[in-house]
Amino acid sequence: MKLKSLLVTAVVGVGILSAYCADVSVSAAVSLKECLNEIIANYQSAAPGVKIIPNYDASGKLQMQIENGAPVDLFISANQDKMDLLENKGLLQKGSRTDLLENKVVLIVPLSSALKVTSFKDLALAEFKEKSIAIGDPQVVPAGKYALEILQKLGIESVVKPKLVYAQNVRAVLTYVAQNEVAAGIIYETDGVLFKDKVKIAAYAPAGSHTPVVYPAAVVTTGKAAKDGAAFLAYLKTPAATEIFKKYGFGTIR
Amino acid sequence: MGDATLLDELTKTDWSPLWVSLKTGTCATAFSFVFGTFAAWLVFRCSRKYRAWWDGLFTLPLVLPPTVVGFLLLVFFGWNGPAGKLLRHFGMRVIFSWEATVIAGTVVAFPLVYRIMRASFEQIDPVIVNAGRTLGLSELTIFFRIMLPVAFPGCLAGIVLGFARALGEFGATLMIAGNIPGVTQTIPIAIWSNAEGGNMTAATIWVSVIILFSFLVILPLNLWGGGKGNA
Amino acid sequence: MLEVTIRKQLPGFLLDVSFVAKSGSTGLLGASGCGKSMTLKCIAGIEKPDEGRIVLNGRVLFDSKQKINLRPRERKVGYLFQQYALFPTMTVRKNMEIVLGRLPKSERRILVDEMLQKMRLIAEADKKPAQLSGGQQQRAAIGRMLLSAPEIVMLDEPLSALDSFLRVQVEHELMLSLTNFMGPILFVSHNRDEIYRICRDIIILEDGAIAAEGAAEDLFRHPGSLAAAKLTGVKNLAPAERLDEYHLKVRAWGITLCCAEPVPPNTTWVGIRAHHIRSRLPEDTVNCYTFDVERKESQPFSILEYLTHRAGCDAMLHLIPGQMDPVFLSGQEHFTADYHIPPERIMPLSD
Repeated sequence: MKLKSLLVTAVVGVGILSAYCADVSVSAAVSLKECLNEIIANYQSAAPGVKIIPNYDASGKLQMQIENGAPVDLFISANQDKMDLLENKGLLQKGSRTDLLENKVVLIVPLSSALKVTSFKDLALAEFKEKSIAIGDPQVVPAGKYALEILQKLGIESVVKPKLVYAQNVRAVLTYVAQNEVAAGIIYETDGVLFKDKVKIAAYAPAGSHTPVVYPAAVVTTGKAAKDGAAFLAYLKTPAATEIFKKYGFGTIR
Repeated sequence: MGDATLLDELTKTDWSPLWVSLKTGTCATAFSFVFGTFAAWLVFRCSRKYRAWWDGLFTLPLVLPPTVVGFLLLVFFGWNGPAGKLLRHFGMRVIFSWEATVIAGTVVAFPLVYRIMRASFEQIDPVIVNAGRTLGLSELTIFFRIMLPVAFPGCLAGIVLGFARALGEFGATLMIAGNIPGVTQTIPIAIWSNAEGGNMTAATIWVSVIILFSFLVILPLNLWGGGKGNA
Repeated sequence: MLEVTIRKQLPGFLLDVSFVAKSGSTGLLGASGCGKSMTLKCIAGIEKPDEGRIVLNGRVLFDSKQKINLRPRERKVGYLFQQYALFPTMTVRKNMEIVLGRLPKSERRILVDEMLQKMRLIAEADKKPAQLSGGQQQRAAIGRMLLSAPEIVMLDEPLSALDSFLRVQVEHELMLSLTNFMGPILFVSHNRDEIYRICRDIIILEDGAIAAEGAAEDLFRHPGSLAAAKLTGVKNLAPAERLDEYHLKVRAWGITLCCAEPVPPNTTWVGIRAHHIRSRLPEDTVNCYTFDVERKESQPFSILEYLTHRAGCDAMLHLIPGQMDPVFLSGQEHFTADYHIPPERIMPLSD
């Protein structure tokens, strides 16, 4: 009798303790960095006892980390492909997958750029002949994949491809452009706006030139705090969170 | 990817990294050999006072992590760097160009060649150098017709090691030449890029290529030079 | 003519020499490490004196005050290194040709062929130094040096590495090769026999300073100083006290000597060559003493006697050279005999 009650107390105690000490691991596409950090701060001040630990990188990188067993509770990808890969491997909590955000693709140039660029098609022009253009590595970075789609759709892929410098994530593309190492780069609108003191947006991707940029989110089973992960995901759909997403320029999906 | 046969994979593969690496490796080896030998000669003839300083400077790229070398090169050749600005003036650009891979390869191979050539020169009996001088030969004649031939086995070792280092260079190359398939994507960068992207088959192919290639180049050179003494 | 003044601090001693070398061979005699080779290196320009002046045939090669320091290749100094220093990757012919680099190919060929002929190396012309004997290497090195048309030839211990058997022959060949050389020849050695045979003038170095210099014959007859006496091979040396103008007291040997010539006032030592002592003859009046004699074999054809005058005195050495047959003394020979030291053979020495 005594042993049984001791055991129960212990289990309940651990349960409460773990709830209190719960570290929720969130892997999110790097474009969400500043935005999500603000949301996390709000969430944690409202619900103390839960600690959200974010990990920002290119979606492909995060997906590979999860596949290799990294303990993650929530994954927000910048495209469906990476999420599909995880779903096919059975690493997602069934029924938790949902589309969260939208974004646009833009062409950026250095602030001091003297080139006349008003559309993506300008990349094929003579003024870009000896220049480099940075995009995310298509194998790893969804933004890079979108970029290739755009070039293909516009029929300028073969001309532009030799000039492409692959970067490891959109922030690296941003850095290359900001430091004038490349003449132009292709990233998301949200990044371009956030860093408008470093680069200028020269053009928007024409409608229909690429697969719509949709950010799916799902609870991942490799982590230890799936419940808290799901709770946080639910929070991301609340007006408190969507307001902040909108502030940063992301489109939200009902 | 699991269903495709090896042959399919090989025919699908973009072979440009091989040509990029070959071009880069050869040029970087040639440049690092010239600069390394010249530096070794300078330090060899330098007065004892300054020798340690010059030696330290020339050996630096060897002990610094490649990313540090890459960073310094980026600062030097970048948009606002001293060399970058100068080249911009002439309408030339180094960052993210094929030339950058040669620069990175040369800088990392240079200290190896320098140390080997310096050791070779130091093994030369100073008496024959002095004899040359008293006989009226110019320093250049002494260098090219007496010192270099005697140091020949060292030359070979220098070339081989320089080539191996240039071929395998990754960190600094990535930072200043970037990952541009067909232009700056050397074999090491291709391996990394494919591994990052989850394309393990392609990564494995390139790893095998580099191992095979290194062996094919280094083995004959060592056999050829081995008879003339060790390095 | 070569005029040399060199001061250079070396580990252990100060090299401080000043001499003049005229045409013909001048020997630099001294023990190993006394600065002989360093002197040559300073003259050649391979090493730099701390202070000094070196003038060759009127051309200033080095002057520390005027800050002149010509590079070796401008000095026209021929240096035969002890190891010959032939260029190992080149044939004998190429070793010689490279020295004539400035001349057109045809001229070079003629001059080199001539030199190969003179040095008797025609058959070895296309061999590499490693394939030559020591003597051939030396001839090749000399030939190469002569082709550079030096104004002075310096030989750094050219015979020291050879067996005594070969030495005489090589010495002969060496001097033969240099017969037509008109300028000064500096011959460095620690072997006094060679120097005496080859050189007309000798400079004796000890611990970086000139201990004695002069014509070879004079130096060997009248060394003048203790250092010179030692270096010219005087075996009997002892501190001496000048009693008067013609007499020396030698406590170490327990004897007093009467000299044929006046004894210089600064005499503090005395020397007598081992083979100058002889058995007493009836007509000898001075410097006659009875000694305890101990005999030993010195070399196959000479006998060495240890002469002790009284118990506690140092022994004097008496060499009897020129035995007809090899000497094998049966056991220890020990006896007493009378000996005479000729007055004219006594060498008063200063410190």
